[in-house]
Amino acid sequence: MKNLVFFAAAFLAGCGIGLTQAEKDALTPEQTVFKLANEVNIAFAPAVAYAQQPKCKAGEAIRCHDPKVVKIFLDLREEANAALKTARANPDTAAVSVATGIVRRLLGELQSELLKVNAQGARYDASNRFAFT
Amino acid sequence: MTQATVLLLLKIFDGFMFAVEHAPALMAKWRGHLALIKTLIAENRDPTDAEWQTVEDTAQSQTDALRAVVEADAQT
Repeated sequence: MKNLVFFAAAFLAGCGIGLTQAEKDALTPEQTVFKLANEVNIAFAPAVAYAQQPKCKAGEAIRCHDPKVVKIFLDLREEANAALKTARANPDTAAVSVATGIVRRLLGELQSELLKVNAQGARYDASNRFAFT
Repeated sequence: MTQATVLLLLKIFDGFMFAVEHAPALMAKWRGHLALIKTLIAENRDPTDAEWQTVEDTAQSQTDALRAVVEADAQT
């Protein structure tokens, strides 16, 4: 369930769902960068919520974060910030297209990491169950 | 009921609570985002400095929050 929330947010943002094709075509370059920046913020909101859970320790908290995953989230967030900053400073069609490509790739990596979080959670459950038996 | 079963039920409940806590806020953010973009298109204007500032403040606070966790993890 938790993963569904993570995945849905990243997926919605990654696909830019919610606008018609005519609306997408009507976007100016600056509007496109603004839309991307908003979508990145929404996609990273669950990642921040994940990070703010306690650090995972074997056999302890059910809700926890893996420090390696949070470091990846931070790297992705910083790379997205840099791409958006560059595009905002020079909002022409070519720069926006490059930024869009970078952000879509980063959101894809975010989705991939969130799926791994789910797998790690399953292994964590398994190790806990093993510890209790 | 074994401890393993209890733990599994807790995990399911925990996941459900996480979704209950976060899904409405995410959907509200998504709806707000779409409404703003549609407004910009309808009014045929670029975002104002204030609108940009809100987005950039959120980006900065997310980055700061992630960095704070990474730094705290590195010290423990």
